[in-house]
Amino acid sequence: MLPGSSLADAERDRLAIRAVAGGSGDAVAELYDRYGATVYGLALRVLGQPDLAEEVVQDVFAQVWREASRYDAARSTVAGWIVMLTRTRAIDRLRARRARPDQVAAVDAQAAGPLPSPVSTPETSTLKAEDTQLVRGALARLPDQFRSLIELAYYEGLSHSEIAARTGIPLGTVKTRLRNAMGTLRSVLA
Amino acid sequence: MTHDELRESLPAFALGALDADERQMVAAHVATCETCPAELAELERVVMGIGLEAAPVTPPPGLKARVLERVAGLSASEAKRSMPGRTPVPFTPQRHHDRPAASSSMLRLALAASVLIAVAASFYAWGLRSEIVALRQSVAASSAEATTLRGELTTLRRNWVEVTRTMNVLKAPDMLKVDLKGQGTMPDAAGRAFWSRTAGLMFTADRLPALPAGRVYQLWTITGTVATGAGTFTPDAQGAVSISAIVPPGARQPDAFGVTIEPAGGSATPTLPIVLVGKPN
Repeated sequence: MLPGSSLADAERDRLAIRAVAGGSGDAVAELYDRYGATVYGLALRVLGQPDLAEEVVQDVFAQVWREASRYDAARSTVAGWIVMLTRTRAIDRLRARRARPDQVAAVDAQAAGPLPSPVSTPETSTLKAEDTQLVRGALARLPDQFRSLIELAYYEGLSHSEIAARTGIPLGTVKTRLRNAMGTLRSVLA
Repeated sequence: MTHDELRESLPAFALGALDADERQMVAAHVATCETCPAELAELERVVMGIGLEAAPVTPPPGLKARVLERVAGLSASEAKRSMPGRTPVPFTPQRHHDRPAASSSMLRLALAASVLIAVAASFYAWGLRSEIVALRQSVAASSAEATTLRGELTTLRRNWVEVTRTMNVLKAPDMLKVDLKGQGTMPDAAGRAFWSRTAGLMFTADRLPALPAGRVYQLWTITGTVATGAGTFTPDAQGAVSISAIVPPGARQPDAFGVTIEPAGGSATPTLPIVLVGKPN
Protein backbone atom coordinates (compact mmCIF):
# COMPACT_ATOMS: atom_id res chain seq x y z
CA MET A 1 0.00 0.00 0.00
CA LEU A 2 1.43 3.37 -1.00
CA PRO A 3 1.68 5.90 1.81
CA GLY A 4 -0.04 8.44 -0.47
CA SER A 5 -3.24 6.43 -0.70
CA SER A 6 -3.25 6.04 3.05
CA LEU A 7 -2.93 9.80 3.45
CA ALA A 8 -5.82 10.18 1.03
CA ASP A 9 -7.86 7.79 3.17
CA ALA A 10 -6.98 9.75 6.30
CA GLU A 11 -8.03 12.94 4.56
CA ARG A 12 -11.28 11.33 3.39
CA ASP A 13 -11.93 10.19 6.97
CA ARG A 14 -11.33 13.71 8.30
CA LEU A 15 -13.81 15.11 5.79
CA ALA A 16 -16.33 12.49 6.82
CA ILE A 17 -15.89 13.32 10.52
CA ARG A 18 -16.32 17.00 9.75
CA ALA A 19 -19.52 16.15 7.86
CA VAL A 20 -20.74 14.09 10.81
CA ALA A 21 -20.00 17.01 13.11
CA GLY A 22 -22.06 19.13 10.72
CA GLY A 23 -24.98 16.75 11.13
CA SER A 24 -24.66 14.49 8.09
CA GLY A 25 -26.18 11.06 8.62
CA ASP A 26 -24.79 9.98 5.28
CA ALA A 27 -21.29 10.59 6.59
CA VAL A 28 -22.03 8.22 9.48
CA ALA A 29 -23.11 5.63 6.92
CA GLU A 30 -19.88 6.23 5.03
CA LEU A 31 -17.78 5.71 8.17
CA TYR A 32 -19.80 2.61 9.00
CA ASP A 33 -19.07 1.20 5.56
CA ARG A 34 -15.39 1.86 6.12
CA TYR A 35 -15.02 0.82 9.76
CA GLY A 36 -18.07 -1.30 10.63
CA ALA A 37 -16.17 -4.56 10.17
CA THR A 38 -13.19 -3.25 12.14
CA VAL A 39 -15.39 -2.15 15.04
CA TYR A 40 -17.42 -5.35 14.98
CA GLY A 41 -14.30 -7.52 14.70
CA LEU A 42 -12.61 -5.84 17.65
CA ALA A 43 -15.77 -5.88 19.78
CA LEU A 44 -16.23 -9.55 18.99
CA ARG A 45 -12.61 -10.29 19.85
CA VAL A 46 -13.03 -8.59 23.23
CA LEU A 47 -16.50 -9.90 24.08
CA GLY A 48 -16.76 -13.13 22.11
CA GLN A 49 -20.52 -12.67 21.85
CA PRO A 50 -22.14 -11.42 18.64
CA ASP A 51 -25.13 -9.76 20.36
CA LEU A 52 -22.94 -7.77 22.74
CA ALA A 53 -20.56 -6.90 19.89
CA GLU A 54 -23.49 -5.54 17.90
CA GLU A 55 -24.48 -3.34 20.82
CA VAL A 56 -20.92 -2.03 20.97
CA VAL A 57 -21.04 -1.20 17.25
CA GLN A 58 -24.24 0.81 17.83
CA ASP A 59 -22.74 2.56 20.86
CA VAL A 60 -19.56 3.44 18.99
CA PHE A 61 -21.28 5.02 16.00
CA ALA A 62 -23.70 6.85 18.28
CA GLN A 63 -20.67 8.22 20.11
CA VAL A 64 -18.98 9.15 16.83
CA TRP A 65 -22.15 11.04 15.98
CA ARG A 66 -22.27 12.84 19.33
CA GLU A 67 -18.57 13.59 19.68
CA ALA A 68 -17.40 14.14 16.11
CA SER A 69 -16.76 17.80 16.87
CA ARG A 70 -14.40 16.78 19.68
CA TYR A 71 -12.27 14.60 17.43
CA ASP A 72 -8.68 15.89 17.45
CA ALA A 73 -6.80 15.15 14.24
CA ALA A 74 -3.52 16.11 15.88
CA ARG A 75 -3.92 13.32 18.41
CA SER A 76 -4.93 10.36 16.26
CA THR A 77 -6.27 9.26 12.93
CA VAL A 78 -10.02 8.77 12.63
CA ALA A 79 -9.39 5.05 12.45
CA GLY A 80 -7.36 5.15 15.66
CA TRP A 81 -10.01 7.23 17.38
CA ILE A 82 -12.81 4.88 16.37
CA VAL A 83 -10.75 1.88 17.48
CA MET A 84 -10.09 3.55 20.82
CA LEU A 85 -13.81 4.22 21.31
CA THR A 86 -14.56 0.63 20.37
CA ARG A 87 -12.08 -0.85 22.78
CA THR A 88 -13.26 1.39 25.61
CA ARG A 89 -16.92 0.48 25.00
CA ALA A 90 -16.16 -3.21 24.62
CA ILE A 91 -14.06 -3.37 27.77
CA ASP A 92 -16.80 -1.50 29.67
CA ARG A 93 -19.27 -4.19 28.66
CA LEU A 94 -16.78 -6.93 29.46
CA ARG A 95 -16.34 -5.52 32.97
CA ALA A 96 -20.09 -5.14 33.40
CA ARG A 97 -20.42 -8.79 32.44
CA ARG A 98 -17.71 -9.83 34.89
CA ALA A 99 -19.51 -7.87 37.60
CA ARG A 100 -22.56 -10.13 37.18
CA PRO A 101 -21.10 -13.53 37.99
CA ASP A 102 -24.53 -15.19 37.85
CA GLN A 103 -24.55 -14.60 34.12
CA VAL A 104 -20.96 -15.54 33.48
CA ALA A 105 -21.56 -19.24 33.01
CA ALA A 106 -24.22 -18.77 30.36
CA VAL A 107 -22.23 -16.04 28.69
CA ASP A 108 -19.05 -18.11 28.62
CA ALA A 109 -20.91 -21.03 27.14
CA GLN A 110 -22.09 -18.77 24.33
CA ALA A 111 -18.70 -17.21 23.94
CA ALA A 112 -17.23 -20.62 23.34
CA GLY A 113 -19.26 -20.90 20.14
CA PRO A 114 -17.68 -20.39 16.74
CA LEU A 115 -16.96 -16.83 15.68
CA PRO A 116 -17.76 -15.52 12.22
CA SER A 117 -14.81 -15.72 9.90
CA PRO A 118 -12.75 -12.58 9.38
CA VAL A 119 -13.01 -10.62 6.15
CA SER A 120 -10.41 -8.57 4.41
CA THR A 121 -11.65 -5.74 2.22
CA PRO A 122 -9.55 -3.13 0.46
CA GLU A 123 -10.78 -0.62 3.07
CA THR A 124 -9.58 -2.57 6.05
CA SER A 125 -6.20 -3.16 4.49
CA THR A 126 -5.99 0.54 3.74
CA LEU A 127 -6.60 1.53 7.32
CA LYS A 128 -4.10 -1.07 8.42
CA ALA A 129 -1.36 0.70 6.52
CA GLU A 130 1.42 2.65 8.19
CA ASP A 131 1.24 2.54 12.00
CA THR A 132 -0.93 -0.49 12.06
CA GLN A 133 1.26 -2.56 9.82
CA LEU A 134 4.29 -1.56 11.79
CA VAL A 135 2.65 -2.30 15.11
CA ARG A 136 1.22 -5.56 13.89
CA GLY A 137 4.56 -6.72 12.57
CA ALA A 138 6.26 -5.78 15.82
CA LEU A 139 3.49 -7.45 17.85
CA ALA A 140 3.89 -10.64 15.85
CA ARG A 141 7.63 -10.64 16.50
CA LEU A 142 7.21 -10.23 20.24
CA PRO A 143 7.94 -13.36 22.25
CA ASP A 144 4.76 -15.02 23.52
CA GLN A 145 5.30 -14.13 27.17
CA PHE A 146 5.29 -10.45 26.20
CA ARG A 147 2.55 -10.54 23.60
CA SER A 148 0.17 -12.46 25.82
CA LEU A 149 0.46 -9.76 28.50
CA ILE A 150 -0.25 -7.02 25.97
CA GLU A 151 -3.29 -8.97 24.80
CA LEU A 152 -4.59 -9.52 28.32
CA ALA A 153 -4.32 -5.79 28.96
CA TYR A 154 -5.70 -4.73 25.60
CA TYR A 155 -8.47 -7.24 24.86
CA GLU A 156 -9.53 -8.06 28.39
CA GLY A 157 -8.85 -4.70 29.98
CA LEU A 158 -6.94 -6.29 32.85
CA SER A 159 -4.74 -4.16 35.09
CA HIS A 160 -1.22 -5.07 36.20
CA SER A 161 -2.42 -6.73 39.37
CA GLU A 162 -5.27 -8.53 37.60
CA ILE A 163 -2.82 -9.89 35.02
CA ALA A 164 -0.53 -11.03 37.82
CA ALA A 165 -3.43 -12.77 39.55
CA ARG A 166 -4.63 -14.34 36.30
CA THR A 167 -1.25 -15.61 35.10
CA GLY A 168 0.55 -16.24 38.38
CA ILE A 169 3.43 -14.10 37.12
CA PRO A 170 4.83 -11.82 39.88
CA LEU A 171 3.46 -8.26 39.72
CA GLY A 172 6.89 -6.71 39.22
CA THR A 173 7.60 -9.01 36.27
CA VAL A 174 4.23 -8.18 34.71
CA LYS A 175 5.03 -4.46 34.95
CA THR A 176 8.51 -4.86 33.48
CA ARG A 177 7.39 -7.11 30.64
CA LEU A 178 4.50 -4.84 29.68
CA ARG A 179 6.74 -1.79 29.74
CA ASN A 180 9.39 -3.52 27.62
CA ALA A 181 6.83 -4.84 25.17
CA MET A 182 5.26 -1.41 24.74
CA GLY A 183 8.76 0.04 24.31
CA THR A 184 9.48 -2.41 21.51
CA LEU A 185 6.22 -1.59 19.73
CA ARG A 186 6.82 2.11 20.17
CA SER A 187 10.32 1.89 18.74
CA VAL A 188 8.96 0.78 15.36
CA LEU A 189 6.89 3.96 15.11
CA ALA A 190 9.79 6.28 15.84
CA MET B 1 6.67 8.95 43.03
CA THR B 2 9.46 10.56 41.08
CA HIS B 3 9.10 11.82 37.53
CA ASP B 4 11.02 8.83 36.19
CA GLU B 5 8.82 6.36 38.06
CA LEU B 6 5.70 8.05 36.75
CA ARG B 7 7.15 8.10 33.25
CA GLU B 8 7.80 4.37 33.48
CA SER B 9 4.10 3.86 34.08
CA LEU B 10 3.09 5.67 30.89
CA PRO B 11 2.97 2.51 28.69
CA ALA B 12 0.66 0.77 31.14
CA PHE B 13 -1.36 3.98 31.48
CA ALA B 14 -1.81 4.14 27.71
CA LEU B 15 -2.89 0.50 27.70
CA GLY B 16 -5.29 1.16 30.55
CA ALA B 17 -3.51 -1.46 32.62
CA LEU B 18 -2.83 0.62 35.72
CA ASP B 19 -4.75 0.00 38.89
CA ALA B 20 -7.00 2.88 39.90
CA ASP B 21 -4.77 4.69 42.41
CA GLU B 22 -1.71 4.57 40.17
CA ARG B 23 -3.80 5.69 37.19
CA GLN B 24 -4.91 8.83 39.03
CA MET B 25 -1.34 9.71 39.96
CA VAL B 26 -0.10 9.33 36.39
CA ALA B 27 -3.03 11.32 34.99
CA ALA B 28 -2.33 14.14 37.43
CA HIS B 29 1.36 14.10 36.50
CA VAL B 30 0.76 14.11 32.73
CA ALA B 31 -1.49 17.14 33.12
CA THR B 32 1.42 19.18 34.48
CA CYS B 33 4.53 17.56 32.98
CA GLU B 34 6.29 19.11 29.99
CA THR B 35 7.63 15.97 28.32
CA CYS B 36 5.27 13.18 29.30
CA PRO B 37 2.26 14.23 27.15
CA ALA B 38 4.26 13.78 23.91
CA GLU B 39 5.48 10.39 25.02
CA LEU B 40 1.97 9.36 26.03
CA ALA B 41 0.64 10.44 22.63
CA GLU B 42 3.13 8.14 20.95
CA LEU B 43 2.19 5.25 23.23
CA GLU B 44 -1.46 5.88 22.45
CA ARG B 45 -0.65 5.50 18.78
CA VAL B 46 0.85 2.12 19.64
CA VAL B 47 -2.31 1.15 21.52
CA MET B 48 -4.49 2.16 18.58
CA GLY B 49 -2.27 0.11 16.32
CA ILE B 50 -2.81 -2.92 18.55
CA GLY B 51 -6.57 -2.48 18.19
CA LEU B 52 -6.38 -2.39 14.42
CA GLU B 53 -4.59 -5.71 14.58
CA ALA B 54 -7.81 -7.54 15.44
CA ALA B 55 -9.28 -9.14 12.33
CA PRO B 56 -12.25 -7.23 10.89
CA VAL B 57 -15.45 -9.26 10.83
CA THR B 58 -18.37 -8.49 8.53
CA PRO B 59 -21.19 -7.31 10.79
CA PRO B 60 -24.62 -8.92 10.46
CA PRO B 61 -26.58 -7.44 7.53
CA GLY B 62 -29.23 -5.62 9.60
CA LEU B 63 -26.76 -3.86 11.87
CA LYS B 64 -26.05 -0.88 9.61
CA ALA B 65 -29.74 -0.01 9.46
CA ARG B 66 -29.99 -0.20 13.27
CA VAL B 67 -26.93 2.02 13.69
CA LEU B 68 -28.33 4.62 11.31
CA GLU B 69 -31.75 4.43 12.94
CA ARG B 70 -30.24 5.06 16.32
CA VAL B 71 -28.18 8.01 15.02
CA ALA B 72 -31.30 9.36 13.31
CA GLY B 73 -33.09 9.05 16.67
CA LEU B 74 -30.29 10.97 18.37
CA SER B 75 -30.39 13.70 15.74
CA ALA B 76 -34.17 13.98 16.11
CA SER B 77 -33.90 14.43 19.89
CA GLU B 78 -31.16 16.99 19.36
CA ALA B 79 -33.42 18.87 16.97
CA LYS B 80 -36.09 19.02 19.66
CA ARG B 81 -33.58 20.48 22.06
CA SER B 82 -32.52 22.84 19.21
CA MET B 83 -28.83 22.49 19.88
CA PRO B 84 -26.96 25.40 18.38
CA GLY B 85 -24.52 24.77 15.57
CA ARG B 86 -25.86 21.32 14.81
CA THR B 87 -28.51 21.20 12.15
CA PRO B 88 -29.46 17.59 11.59
CA VAL B 89 -29.71 16.59 8.00
CA PRO B 90 -32.33 13.90 7.38
CA PHE B 91 -31.18 10.61 5.96
CA THR B 92 -31.68 10.64 2.24
CA PRO B 93 -30.51 7.52 0.48
CA GLN B 94 -30.58 9.24 -2.94
CA ARG B 95 -27.88 11.59 -1.74
CA HIS B 96 -25.46 8.75 -2.17
CA HIS B 97 -25.18 9.95 -5.77
CA ASP B 98 -23.63 13.18 -4.57
CA ARG B 99 -20.83 11.35 -2.82
CA PRO B 100 -17.30 11.51 -4.18
CA ALA B 101 -16.25 8.68 -6.46
CA ALA B 102 -14.35 7.03 -3.64
CA SER B 103 -17.41 6.47 -1.50
CA SER B 104 -19.62 5.38 -4.38
CA SER B 105 -17.01 2.72 -5.04
CA MET B 106 -17.42 1.82 -1.37
CA LEU B 107 -21.13 1.51 -1.96
CA ARG B 108 -20.52 -0.65 -5.01
CA LEU B 109 -18.20 -2.77 -2.94
CA ALA B 110 -20.81 -3.16 -0.22
CA LEU B 111 -23.38 -4.05 -2.86
CA ALA B 112 -20.99 -6.53 -4.44
CA ALA B 113 -20.34 -8.02 -1.02
CA SER B 114 -24.06 -8.36 -0.31
CA VAL B 115 -24.60 -9.92 -3.72
CA LEU B 116 -21.79 -12.35 -2.95
CA ILE B 117 -23.37 -13.18 0.39
CA ALA B 118 -26.75 -13.69 -1.28
CA VAL B 119 -25.17 -15.91 -3.92
CA ALA B 120 -23.31 -17.88 -1.27
CA ALA B 121 -26.52 -18.23 0.75
CA SER B 122 -28.45 -19.45 -2.28
CA PHE B 123 -25.69 -21.93 -3.09
CA TYR B 124 -25.91 -23.12 0.47
CA ALA B 125 -29.70 -23.39 0.24
CA TRP B 126 -29.38 -25.18 -3.07
CA GLY B 127 -26.90 -27.57 -1.52
CA LEU B 128 -29.32 -28.24 1.34
CA ARG B 129 -32.19 -28.77 -1.07
CA SER B 130 -30.29 -31.32 -3.14
CA GLU B 131 -29.22 -33.02 0.06
CA ILE B 132 -32.88 -33.26 1.09
CA VAL B 133 -33.82 -34.64 -2.34
CA ALA B 134 -31.01 -37.20 -2.11
CA LEU B 135 -32.12 -38.19 1.40
CA ARG B 136 -35.74 -38.52 0.27
CA GLN B 137 -34.64 -40.73 -2.59
CA SER B 138 -32.58 -42.94 -0.35
CA VAL B 139 -35.45 -43.14 2.17
CA ALA B 140 -37.81 -44.13 -0.67
CA ALA B 141 -35.28 -46.69 -1.92
CA SER B 142 -34.80 -48.06 1.58
CA SER B 143 -38.53 -48.31 2.14
CA ALA B 144 -39.01 -50.04 -1.24
CA GLU B 145 -36.24 -52.43 -0.30
CA ALA B 146 -37.88 -53.03 3.07
CA THR B 147 -41.17 -53.82 1.31
CA THR B 148 -39.40 -56.24 -1.01
CA LEU B 149 -37.64 -57.89 1.91
CA ARG B 150 -40.90 -58.14 3.83
CA GLY B 151 -42.47 -59.81 0.78
CA GLU B 152 -39.57 -62.21 0.48
CA LEU B 153 -39.77 -62.96 4.18
CA THR B 154 -43.49 -63.71 3.86
CA THR B 155 -42.80 -66.02 0.93
CA LEU B 156 -40.00 -67.73 2.82
CA ARG B 157 -42.23 -68.18 5.88
CA ARG B 158 -44.94 -69.64 3.68
CA ASN B 159 -42.38 -71.93 2.05
CA TRP B 160 -41.08 -72.87 5.45
CA VAL B 161 -44.58 -73.78 6.63
CA GLU B 162 -45.00 -75.80 3.44
CA VAL B 163 -41.68 -77.59 3.87
CA THR B 164 -42.38 -78.27 7.53
CA ARG B 165 -45.80 -79.65 6.72
CA THR B 166 -44.32 -81.81 3.94
CA MET B 167 -41.63 -83.09 6.27
CA ASN B 168 -44.21 -83.85 8.93
CA VAL B 169 -46.39 -85.72 6.43
CA LEU B 170 -43.45 -87.70 5.05
CA LYS B 171 -42.15 -88.81 8.44
CA ALA B 172 -45.56 -89.47 9.96
CA PRO B 173 -45.88 -93.11 11.20
CA ASP B 174 -49.35 -93.38 9.63
CA MET B 175 -48.19 -91.98 6.30
CA LEU B 176 -50.10 -93.34 3.30
CA LYS B 177 -48.53 -92.96 -0.15
CA VAL B 178 -50.75 -93.16 -3.23
CA ASP B 179 -49.65 -92.84 -6.87
CA LEU B 180 -52.14 -91.28 -9.30
CA LYS B 181 -52.23 -91.94 -13.01
CA GLY B 182 -53.50 -89.75 -15.82
CA GLN B 183 -56.77 -90.81 -17.41
CA GLY B 184 -58.40 -90.20 -20.80
CA THR B 185 -57.06 -87.04 -22.45
CA MET B 186 -53.99 -86.73 -20.21
CA PRO B 187 -52.33 -90.14 -20.13
CA ASP B 188 -48.85 -88.70 -19.44
CA ALA B 189 -49.92 -86.92 -16.27
CA ALA B 190 -48.84 -88.47 -12.99
CA GLY B 191 -49.29 -87.54 -9.36
CA ARG B 192 -48.47 -88.71 -5.88
CA ALA B 193 -50.39 -88.10 -2.67
CA PHE B 194 -49.07 -88.45 0.88
CA TRP B 195 -51.73 -88.66 3.54
CA SER B 196 -51.48 -88.78 7.30
CA ARG B 197 -54.42 -88.44 9.63
CA THR B 198 -52.29 -86.50 12.09
CA ALA B 199 -49.84 -84.60 9.86
CA GLY B 200 -52.00 -83.70 6.86
CA LEU B 201 -52.10 -84.19 3.14
CA MET B 202 -49.48 -83.48 0.49
CA PHE B 203 -49.91 -83.78 -3.24
CA THR B 204 -47.50 -83.37 -6.16
CA ALA B 205 -48.15 -83.86 -9.87
CA ASP B 206 -46.29 -83.52 -13.18
CA ARG B 207 -47.12 -83.12 -16.86
CA LEU B 208 -50.53 -81.67 -16.21
CA PRO B 209 -51.95 -79.88 -19.29
CA ALA B 210 -52.74 -76.18 -18.94
CA LEU B 211 -56.43 -75.44 -18.47
CA PRO B 212 -58.68 -72.87 -20.15
CA ALA B 213 -59.23 -69.61 -18.27
CA GLY B 214 -61.64 -69.93 -15.38
CA ARG B 215 -60.86 -73.61 -14.82
CA VAL B 216 -58.79 -75.21 -12.05
CA TYR B 217 -57.83 -78.69 -10.99
CA GLN B 218 -59.36 -79.95 -7.75
CA LEU B 219 -58.03 -82.79 -5.58
CA TRP B 220 -60.48 -85.12 -3.84
CA THR B 221 -60.23 -87.75 -1.15
CA ILE B 222 -62.73 -90.51 -1.71
CA THR B 223 -63.95 -92.58 1.19
CA GLY B 224 -66.56 -95.17 0.27
CA THR B 225 -68.93 -93.18 -1.95
CA VAL B 226 -68.15 -89.81 -0.41
CA ALA B 227 -65.70 -87.41 -2.22
CA THR B 228 -64.27 -84.60 -0.10
CA GLY B 229 -62.53 -81.58 -1.68
CA ALA B 230 -58.86 -81.31 -0.63
CA GLY B 231 -57.93 -78.09 -2.44
CA THR B 232 -57.80 -76.58 -5.89
CA PHE B 233 -54.61 -75.86 -7.83
CA THR B 234 -53.21 -74.56 -11.07
CA PRO B 235 -49.98 -76.15 -12.31
CA ASP B 236 -47.00 -74.07 -13.37
CA ALA B 237 -45.84 -73.59 -16.96
CA GLN B 238 -44.11 -77.00 -16.89
CA GLY B 239 -47.33 -78.65 -15.72
CA ALA B 240 -45.97 -79.30 -12.23
CA VAL B 241 -47.70 -78.60 -8.93
CA SER B 242 -47.20 -79.22 -5.25
CA ILE B 243 -49.85 -78.48 -2.64
CA SER B 244 -50.55 -79.38 0.91
CA ALA B 245 -53.75 -79.47 2.90
CA ILE B 246 -55.02 -80.14 6.36
CA VAL B 247 -56.80 -83.40 7.07
CA PRO B 248 -60.01 -82.75 8.99
CA PRO B 249 -60.00 -84.28 12.49
CA GLY B 250 -61.60 -87.68 12.65
CA ALA B 251 -61.25 -88.31 8.91
CA ARG B 252 -61.06 -91.93 7.87
CA GLN B 253 -58.25 -93.15 5.65
CA PRO B 254 -59.29 -92.47 2.01
CA ASP B 255 -60.03 -95.37 -0.31
CA ALA B 256 -58.86 -93.37 -3.34
CA PHE B 257 -57.55 -89.96 -4.50
CA GLY B 258 -58.88 -88.26 -7.59
CA VAL B 259 -58.40 -85.03 -9.55
CA THR B 260 -61.13 -83.35 -11.60
CA ILE B 261 -61.39 -80.11 -13.60
CA GLU B 262 -63.70 -77.59 -11.94
CA PRO B 263 -64.74 -73.97 -12.29
CA ALA B 264 -62.42 -71.45 -10.50
CA GLY B 265 -62.94 -71.68 -6.74
CA GLY B 266 -63.70 -75.37 -6.86
CA SER B 267 -66.88 -77.39 -6.44
CA ALA B 268 -68.63 -79.15 -3.56
CA THR B 269 -68.88 -82.40 -5.53
CA PRO B 270 -66.56 -83.60 -8.30
CA THR B 271 -67.48 -82.95 -11.92
CA LEU B 272 -66.71 -85.95 -14.07
CA PRO B 273 -64.55 -87.11 -15.71
CA ILE B 274 -61.79 -87.83 -13.22
CA VAL B 275 -58.48 -86.87 -14.93
CA LEU B 276 -56.10 -88.44 -12.37
CA VAL B 277 -56.88 -91.27 -10.01
CA GLY B 278 -55.05 -93.61 -7.63
CA LYS B 279 -55.70 -96.08 -4.82
CA PRO B 280 -53.52 -97.20 -1.91
CA ASN B 281 -51.77 -100.49 -2.62
